Amino acid sequence: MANDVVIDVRDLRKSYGELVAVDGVSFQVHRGEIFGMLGPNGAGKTTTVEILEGLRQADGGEAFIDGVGVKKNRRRVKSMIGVQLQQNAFFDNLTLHETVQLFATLYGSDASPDDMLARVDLAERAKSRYKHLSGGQRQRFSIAVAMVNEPVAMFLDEPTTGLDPQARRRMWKLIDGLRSDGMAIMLTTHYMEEAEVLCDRVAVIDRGSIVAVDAPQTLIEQLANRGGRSVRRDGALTLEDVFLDLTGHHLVD
Amino acid sequence: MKIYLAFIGAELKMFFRDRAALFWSLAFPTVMMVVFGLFDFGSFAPPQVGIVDQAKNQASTLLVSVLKGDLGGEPLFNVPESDDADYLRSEVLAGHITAFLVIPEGFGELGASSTIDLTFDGRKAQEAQAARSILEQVLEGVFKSVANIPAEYRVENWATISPTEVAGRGQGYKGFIVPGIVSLAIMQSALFGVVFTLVRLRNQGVLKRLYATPIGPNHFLVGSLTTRLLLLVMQTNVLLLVGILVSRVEVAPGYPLFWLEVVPLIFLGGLVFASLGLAISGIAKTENTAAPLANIVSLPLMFLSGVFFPQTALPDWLLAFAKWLPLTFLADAMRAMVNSGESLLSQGGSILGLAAWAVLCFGLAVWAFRWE
Ligand SMILES: Nc1ncnc2c1ncn2[C@@H]1O[C@H](COP(=O)(O)OP(=O)(O)OP(=O)(O)O)[C@@H](O)[C@H]1O
Ligand SMILES: [Mg+2]
Repeated sequence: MANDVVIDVRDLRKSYGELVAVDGVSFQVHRGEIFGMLGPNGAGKTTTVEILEGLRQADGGEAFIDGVGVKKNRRRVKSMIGVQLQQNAFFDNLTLHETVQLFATLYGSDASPDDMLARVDLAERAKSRYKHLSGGQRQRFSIAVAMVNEPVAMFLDEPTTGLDPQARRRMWKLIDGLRSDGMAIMLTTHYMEEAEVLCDRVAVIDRGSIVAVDAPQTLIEQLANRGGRSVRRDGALTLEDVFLDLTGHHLVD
Repeated sequence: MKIYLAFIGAELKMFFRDRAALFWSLAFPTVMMVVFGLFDFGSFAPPQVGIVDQAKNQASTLLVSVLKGDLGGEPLFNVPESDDADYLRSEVLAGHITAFLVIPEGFGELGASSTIDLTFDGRKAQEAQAARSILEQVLEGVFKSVANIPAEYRVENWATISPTEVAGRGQGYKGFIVPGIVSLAIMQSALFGVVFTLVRLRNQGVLKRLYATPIGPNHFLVGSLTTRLLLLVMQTNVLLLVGILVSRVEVAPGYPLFWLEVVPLIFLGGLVFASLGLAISGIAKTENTAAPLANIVSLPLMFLSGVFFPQTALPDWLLAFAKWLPLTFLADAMRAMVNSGESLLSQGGSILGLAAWAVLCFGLAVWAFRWE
């Protein structure tokens, strides 16, 4: 199991002035696993993910992608991973085909744009410009781009935010399919249903610290054992109840 | 190398697909060039006329003083320092001054009729005609004053003016404004093109997505700058063509090598202003400050660098500063090459000045660059 670890995060810390955005975060993500990170706005999800992606420098701790330390090998790590940023965007006036081609070159990969687009069901839009895509198509497209370098790990920061239910389910299918490629997938989300359906394990992060990590079902059972209450009329506990229970201090405040 | 080429190819495609940007990069300077070409600003300023005083007597000294405005009032002629006839002739031929006149020995002595030679640039016939009538009026006044003749008397045959037309390379105000606007257009589209593109890409998050790839900032910076320079070469050629066809100026008369030599000049000027644009978009805290900042930088350059009117119109203290501006170097070199068909190498001073600015601005651009 140990050599199955692709994303290995150890006591990561990051502050912006007084504000501690990430406060000692540790977790591991395994090959073929989908790992979700849940947390209220400003909890530190994006900060954590972007440190792992080599976009921000941690103040303390270390992270390894497939054994490569991120701190000292940012370029190398970038070439090994696939990313979809929270505010992901591409050149408006390039076609999908051209964009995938450009990014393949940037990653030094000879991936075929048509293959990549076919994998996200956008083959027939190859000649469309990015700006003409719908929100759901854009999110799928960014995954096509993220795959050009055959990454060992994929980071998806809120991949379904702002999508309609159909588009969201389509994304789920797509992300679930990545699992079979053996990637380690880490995603952040505000949709509890998404985490329940998609993630093998989730971490709940609040004010920069992880307050719980486990399989969604296990977290729900733990809440039941604590005597937690459901927000639903039928009384069935969901991940949403777990989330509110663990991070609900805002409601009390 | 592949990465640079990929960027350049992609950015060229994007530019030509962005119809609005394409249109404005050409339409605006074209309109300016045509509109300013209609004016004859040369007629507002005193004509540039050299004076060779061979008489050096009371009458000739008085004449020169009146023309130069030394006795009070506005100068009637803008008189260059030199009084060497050969040098002044070459200045007329080069199109730098409108005419020069020679006051012969014995001028103004009683009983003698002397002939003043006026050598003028045939291309500036209008200005030369204005200079001639000014001279005629002044001559009469000077004669009456020297000979103590009351103003109401008419005098004749005291001195005559003998005009000689030479084919100079001066093209009047049109010849001034076309290379000026071509240079200005290089500055504007390099500066604002880079600022707007970069700010938009950064706002949208495209830059950050690029940052998430294993490329370095240099790949992106060099790729963008190179694309910009290629576009500037195209733009400049189109504008020069407009100058030839619409404004009817002659570009680099007798020097076809100009069309090759202008490319490095465009590259150098473009590099200065595109780097400046990169630096500004890096330094500006928010997107909303980048464009105003670019305006604050470009406006003084536009008016102090001798684009619309000669820098000689500036007060001395301002000129001392303005002659070091990058657009001054670019416009000076461009004007010398376009107007007089001078070679790139003859513009060594301006080239050096631009090169120094390029190093400075590029350094600033690299220093200030941010992906987010
Ligand atoms: N560049 C920065 N400078 C200063 N503070 C920052 C910066 N980036 C993030 N922060 C702060 O760090 C905290 C964590 O932000 P982060 O973006 O990681 O949260 P998040 O969990 O991704 O939130 P969301 O769900 O809204 O995306 C927030 O309080 C945020 O304001
Ligand atoms: Mg976030």
